[in-house]
Amino acid sequence: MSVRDHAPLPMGPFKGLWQRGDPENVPLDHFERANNIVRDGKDWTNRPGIAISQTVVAPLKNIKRGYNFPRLTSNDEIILVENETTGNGEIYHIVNDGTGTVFGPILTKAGMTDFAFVPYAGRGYICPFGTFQTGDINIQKGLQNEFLYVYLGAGVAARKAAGSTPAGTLTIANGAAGHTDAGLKIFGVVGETDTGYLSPPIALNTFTTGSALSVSFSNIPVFVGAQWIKRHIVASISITGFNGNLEGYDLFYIPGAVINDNVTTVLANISFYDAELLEDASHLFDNYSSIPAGCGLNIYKDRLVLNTTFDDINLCLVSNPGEPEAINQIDGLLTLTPESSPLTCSQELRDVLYVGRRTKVIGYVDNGDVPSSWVPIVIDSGQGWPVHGIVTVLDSGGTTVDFLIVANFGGVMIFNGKFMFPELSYKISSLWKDQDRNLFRRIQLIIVPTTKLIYIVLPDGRLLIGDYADGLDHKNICWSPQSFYVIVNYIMVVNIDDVIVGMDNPNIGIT
Amino acid sequence: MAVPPPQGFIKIYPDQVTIVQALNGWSLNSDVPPMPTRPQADLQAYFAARVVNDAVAPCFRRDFESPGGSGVYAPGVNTYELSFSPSHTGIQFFASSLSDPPDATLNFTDADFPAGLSINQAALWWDGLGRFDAARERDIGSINWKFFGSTYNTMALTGSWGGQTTPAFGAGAIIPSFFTHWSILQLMKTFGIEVPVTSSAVTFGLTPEFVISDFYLYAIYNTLQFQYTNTGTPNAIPGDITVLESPTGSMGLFDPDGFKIYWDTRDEEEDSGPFPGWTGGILIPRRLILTLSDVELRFIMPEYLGIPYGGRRLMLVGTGEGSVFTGEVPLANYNVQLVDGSGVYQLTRGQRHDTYYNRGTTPITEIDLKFPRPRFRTGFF
Repeated sequence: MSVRDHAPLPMGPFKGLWQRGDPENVPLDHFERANNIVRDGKDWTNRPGIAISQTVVAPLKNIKRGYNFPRLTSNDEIILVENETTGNGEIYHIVNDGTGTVFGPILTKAGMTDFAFVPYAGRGYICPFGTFQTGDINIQKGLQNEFLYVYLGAGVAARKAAGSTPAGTLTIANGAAGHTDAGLKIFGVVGETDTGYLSPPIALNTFTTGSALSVSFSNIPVFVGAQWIKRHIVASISITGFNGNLEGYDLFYIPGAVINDNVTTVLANISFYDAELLEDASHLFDNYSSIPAGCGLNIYKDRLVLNTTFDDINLCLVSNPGEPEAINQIDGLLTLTPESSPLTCSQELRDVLYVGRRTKVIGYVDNGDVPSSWVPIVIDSGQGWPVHGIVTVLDSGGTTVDFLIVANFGGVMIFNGKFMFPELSYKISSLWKDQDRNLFRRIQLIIVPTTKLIYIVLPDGRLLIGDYADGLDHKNICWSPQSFYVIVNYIMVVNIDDVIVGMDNPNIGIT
Repeated sequence: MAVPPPQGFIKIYPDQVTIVQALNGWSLNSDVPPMPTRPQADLQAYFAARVVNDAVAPCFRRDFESPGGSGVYAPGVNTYELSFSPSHTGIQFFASSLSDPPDATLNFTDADFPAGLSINQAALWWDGLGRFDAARERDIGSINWKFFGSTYNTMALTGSWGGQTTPAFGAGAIIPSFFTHWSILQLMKTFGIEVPVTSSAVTFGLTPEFVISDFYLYAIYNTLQFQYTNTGTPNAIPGDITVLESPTGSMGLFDPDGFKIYWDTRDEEEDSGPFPGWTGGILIPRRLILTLSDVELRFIMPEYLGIPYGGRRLMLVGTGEGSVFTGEVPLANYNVQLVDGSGVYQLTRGQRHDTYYNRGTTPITEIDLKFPRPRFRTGFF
């Protein structure tokens, strides 16, 4: 063959890293190796440099985990650091309002190497969790004797969600002239916190009301803690043949019987008819007063979903709609088939709640009834996701264009109710398989639709960038790993597409 | 079928270049394609108070088999050991008289030792393989250094040849004094060696030659008289070129094979490796050693991987595995303030370097570092 007949080999545009099997099989338009370069149009150039994010006297260090904390006034950050002196995990709140304000630590816990967080109505719910070893396998679950915490967002330390109740017995007497349906009733007190949590009815007592009189209350218990801001008087309808069981009857909020403080111990002259008792409070009896910590938090249909407590790695706790701290200990549970592989995290997609294990996904649909009545459907028995393995879209959620992007042992893949193959990480399957599976807890993904980039924190401490400007499929996505002198522990997006990276010291090692 | 490329075809471009620049710089007709080495933008070079050059305290040490290592690494004591090992030579001693052979004095002077060493104490060792050649006559009083040869006969000996003595050294000439240890030769007297009367191999009038082979003098030295000077980047951090200069040629004395970095853990009750109180042993790879001569060591500071952050004292150690030197020799100490680079950062488009928190300063400042190994490599053509 003459030179004239020689077929030229066009090069480029390059489509990123190809690390799949034999290096000799790397296509001409891919890189056999790449580091710290990103695509720039049809060319490749340096990755963006990192700049410090905190211009304050004492910026946070030893960063372990971070979450967006979207609030009305700013898109803040909730950051977990390790106190290098005590070894405790400490959570801080960075206020991104330009003032450099950092609140905290808002929560300090021994053994908290990671945490779950979900913002809700301007406040945040926090679950401290850690990594535990089962044989040769690392699993994540809530810390022992730890709880779900709520942070109001103003710098005051987070406190246990829900709450404990004081002792005491309500004193009831006839009040001034008024009206009730005459008869024996059970009365009680329900406390309300600044987050809307309603305590179980307490201080229960009976009293026989008269038809022409109102009812007055005294010895109304005062709850312990500044979070208690309000108390409600609840009552049953008139009972005929009372059996002596104070908790054996439905209790309802008495309209207008509200004490808007946690100080006053009397409430006088309340009139009501039984027909006005419409809003049930009986379900509060079975709510957790202290909600055990888990390794996953999510919001599904306005319910808080918490999974994998220390004592039960196959358990999901689901709150009442709109009451994230009201979790019924009887019917607010999703008890999955016991397995040694714990639940990792959950995510809603198209009204379905998908609960994942490392290699399994189970679906639930809110049928309008209590969570314990929801029917589990095994979606996939071979693919799942790790604790942070579901993509975050910008600063919240997980759904983009009606699908999820997840990372699991099989790679990075699209999940739209089923896992789509070939996986997005098809080109870099060798790189993916080289990652330590016991460190898949570290994997975290965000997608930035405005720049068409996917950022993935790799178990080995690097950052993997997927550029899908040419298409979000395994052929057109362009991968390029990025390394730093420190290890990447989390990544988040603020202000549409400003990428924040939390980094830790490499000398500590990757755990 | 993939065809391997010619040598030099596949290049790793360590500098920050775009593909276009790289390809424009490549030529089929060149064995070594021109490298586009110019960065796209100004890179801010390494700088920061990460490594503060301390008074460099070079020293020698030999991990020899004696348990008498003297604990020379106690804090604040710059005392180290030296292995002076003329194993390729024999030291000859001569006898002149059957009845009263003169002492064969073994003298070492400063000139016999590497320049700059100030001996404090030493131990003389021999391995018992001394040989005697009665046929070779020498003038009494002369001392020759001689290579071993086949003409030497092994001495007929009883008893133990091996042993150790600890001579005392004074200023000036180093004169080990031997004590009787041998049953046959009886040659140990103060400052000398003499032929024993019971030695049948020695006849009057002859000056038989005794050779003690594998003769080791292990000396312990105080702070050495010469010093290396760090003439490289005074504030070296991983990636910086660090230069140790020794105008007296000290670097050639022990012919190191490699270098390691240890870090001080004496305050942390860790004790591992050959240097009690020091931990680690980060090997400086060969590729990071740029030049090594008698007068200069120029290397790229390796990553401080594994070294805890904070104020640290580092020790640069030369390693050797040869005839002249075997073991590890502390060369230089550094006080370092390893920057805790952890923190919250933001990816910044258009920024062609990384800016880290520099917690080595008060107040905390920033440190600019170039990207670690930005590169790509194409597939096979």
